Amino acid sequence: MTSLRPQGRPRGRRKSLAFIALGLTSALALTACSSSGSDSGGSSSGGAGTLVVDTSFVMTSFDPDRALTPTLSVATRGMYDTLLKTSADDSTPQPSVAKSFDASEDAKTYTFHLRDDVTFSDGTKLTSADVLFSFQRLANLKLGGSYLMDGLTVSAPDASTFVVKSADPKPAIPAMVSTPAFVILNSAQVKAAGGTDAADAPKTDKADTWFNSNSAGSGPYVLESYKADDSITLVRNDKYWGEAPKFDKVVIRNMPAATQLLNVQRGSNEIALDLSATQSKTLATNKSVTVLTDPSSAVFRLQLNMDPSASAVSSNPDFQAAVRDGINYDAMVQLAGDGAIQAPGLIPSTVPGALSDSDAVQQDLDKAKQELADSGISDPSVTLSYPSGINVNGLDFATLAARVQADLQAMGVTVKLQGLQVSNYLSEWAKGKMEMTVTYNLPDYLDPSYYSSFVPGSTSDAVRAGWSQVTPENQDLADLGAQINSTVDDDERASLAQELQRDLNESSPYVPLMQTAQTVVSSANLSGVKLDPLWTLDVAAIGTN
Amino acid sequence: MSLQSAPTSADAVTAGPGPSESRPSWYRRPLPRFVAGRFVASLVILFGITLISFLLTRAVPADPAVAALGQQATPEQLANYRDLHGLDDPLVVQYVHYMQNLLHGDLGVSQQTHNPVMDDLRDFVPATIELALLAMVMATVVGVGFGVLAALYRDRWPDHALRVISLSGISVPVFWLALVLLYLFFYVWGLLPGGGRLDPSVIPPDQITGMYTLDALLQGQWSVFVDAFKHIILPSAVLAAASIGLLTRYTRSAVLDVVDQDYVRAARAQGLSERTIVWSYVMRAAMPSVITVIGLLFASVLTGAVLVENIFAWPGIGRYGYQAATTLDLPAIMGVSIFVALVYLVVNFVVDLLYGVLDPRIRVT
Repeated sequence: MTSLRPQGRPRGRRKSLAFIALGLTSALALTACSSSGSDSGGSSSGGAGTLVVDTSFVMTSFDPDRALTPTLSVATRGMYDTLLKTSADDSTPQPSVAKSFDASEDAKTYTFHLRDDVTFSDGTKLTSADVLFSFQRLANLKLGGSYLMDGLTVSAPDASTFVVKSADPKPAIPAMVSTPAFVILNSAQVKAAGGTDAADAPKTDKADTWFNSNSAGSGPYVLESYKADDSITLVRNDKYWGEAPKFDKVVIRNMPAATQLLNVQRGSNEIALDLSATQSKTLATNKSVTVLTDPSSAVFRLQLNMDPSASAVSSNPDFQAAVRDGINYDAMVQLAGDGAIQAPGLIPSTVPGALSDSDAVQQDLDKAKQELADSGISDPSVTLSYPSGINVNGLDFATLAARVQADLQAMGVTVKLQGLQVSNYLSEWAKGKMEMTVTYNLPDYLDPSYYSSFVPGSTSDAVRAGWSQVTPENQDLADLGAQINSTVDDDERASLAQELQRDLNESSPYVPLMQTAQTVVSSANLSGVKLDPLWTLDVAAIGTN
Repeated sequence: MSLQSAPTSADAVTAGPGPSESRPSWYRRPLPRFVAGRFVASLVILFGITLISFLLTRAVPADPAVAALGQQATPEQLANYRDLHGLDDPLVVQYVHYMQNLLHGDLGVSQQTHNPVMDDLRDFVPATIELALLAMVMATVVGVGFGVLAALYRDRWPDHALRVISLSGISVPVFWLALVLLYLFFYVWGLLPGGGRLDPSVIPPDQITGMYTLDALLQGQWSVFVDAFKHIILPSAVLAAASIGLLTRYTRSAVLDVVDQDYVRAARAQGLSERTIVWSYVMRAAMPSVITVIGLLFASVLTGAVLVENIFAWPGIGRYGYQAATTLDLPAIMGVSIFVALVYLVVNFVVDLLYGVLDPRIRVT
């Protein structure tokens, strides 16, 4: 034994121990004194006036003209208005700031008539000049959402009239102006903050940072504070022209899913947006929460490359057909959890023009093996890329890629998996050279014409699949895409979109896999909690029972 | 004995002043010379870190323009973004430009938050410092206490028990411990809050230091202090857990190295009290190595709180750095790298100074 004084139990040693014990007691006292507070935390003491929304932040900017992310959409819905408005229950655009609109027969001109009682949160009256400024700024900033203004020209002939013209028929305009990208900004405020809608806006617009601490809208809430990566706090807009929102204050917090799961069970007036199907299953018998599982608009797909210079294997039509018939779709849907369904086409069930279940491709291994043999490729080998480290609606891309690998290897195809960090993945995606990838799509607006970007010759999605060239073989598809864009009648446009998807299911680089579900879990005392396919959540519509 | 020897007779007969005499008076004093030397060395290291960090962030095979603008961006939009942020300039030009701005206190604008990185650091760093400080207070009090106790009871049951506890602290994964504590203290017992720095209904105190507990106290906002303190207990306890384990082991080892030394026996033979022997002889000799560990642990706690900050939704530098890395926010990555480097440099510097204060034998004289 080693001790300072081997024999007996010395008095000095007792003093030392007493001193140490005092230190330990002090440390424990830190916990003890705090425990006596017994606050359940989270939102429990938020009171009836505060609604708390927990979500994993996906933010790139607080300026609505610069970014379109789910997190921003929830806050944007609260702070801003759009000309027309869709809801969780109805994807047909309804009057909002515009009390009505006229469409020309050729669907090239849309004239919106504005209400005259709409004011911004600073009391300024909203006029067509504000709408004009907002749309032009969106176009001229030349950022992610600017492509939505391609081919459109806008004008404001008088204070209460706003006109959108398109060189080609554009029946999707009402749907487009109902989306987060087209929110209406207070032009005077934004200009005073350094914002501009001029053509040189990418270099001269300086209002970006201003939006981090201010809002410039006419919605039911105004921004009180935004702490990057932490929280967004909205408070009631006293000058709101519509029905006053139920809650005085809304706090959107950045929380990991595991913490969201605990918070929503402990608190009241609380909503969790990012729980997976597996997590929400654990709440099935919990009476303190309401679990809402709705189809999301996210459609996952396997995408091959049509460009022979990118891959002689994936560009082979027979190989593509073999892949399409060789996938075990039921297993894919199981991976996505409760509420997920097989995607019969590229268009989700939340958008007009979606195919029915009977149109879905079914696994046929014999057929797939025959198509593989017809391809003439011996010992086929492909690289399957996927974004690593992220999941959408609880679905992890790595798991999905491994499932595809297993299915294709069962047919005799060697699949090398390549997980790429998201930034790297997006860089590779932009080049349009990935041999094969699993990816997903969320529509920017709820109209079948949005999906015409998948046809050959399109400048966005088709380019990433190496399908930028229109050839005699794919001319029909390109024409069908153009026809969808210009068809004025909604039903006919939806019908054409279905025809396009059936054709793409026959031969294309796209293999639709599944449409995931999104779970929203809320405290049982809340009412009006609904999943909105465009805005995720309309916080102004939420109240208490 | 001084490191600077007295002049030899040969030196004395050399005509004129020697090299040391020609230097300014402050240089001939050891402490200022030591401080100045370390300061210059730190600047060189800092410069090296900016260069390496800059090159590494540019070597990542990803395009920041695509990361910022997303999948739908057109080639024209991407080109416009690269032009605006100087991403097409030669690497040397980019670095020189960055350093010019850095010397003016400008770390660039975060592509993720769209705030100046300096402003972001001002917001996020205090939250992490607050967390790390409390974690280190917990770790030091408990870890050193456990270590001394284990040494005093060497090879007896308290020693065995404390070694098991310290091993557990080191071995248990941080995320697991965080979730278990959260589950028990928040969900099951409702004793502590779930995450974040304050309850959503509580208005944060005006920023003085950026540390909510301290700011609330300074402004006399007792209820805000209580709420902030409740929120910080769990994350700091989790952050302290691994450090407690390490400190217990280091302290135990350091104390055991000293307790059998002759001078300790001599002190006891002179009839000094046990308390005096422990605190003035044993601990004083053992503390330098423990202080080294505490210093390094503080730096690692300060910069390594990524997991804890993410699970507890704590808006600190770890979370900010993680988000910056996943979104390829180059200015923010650089800002965090420089901050981390500064922390290590400052902590090492302070530890070196404390050596001398605690143990005159190794004081630079």
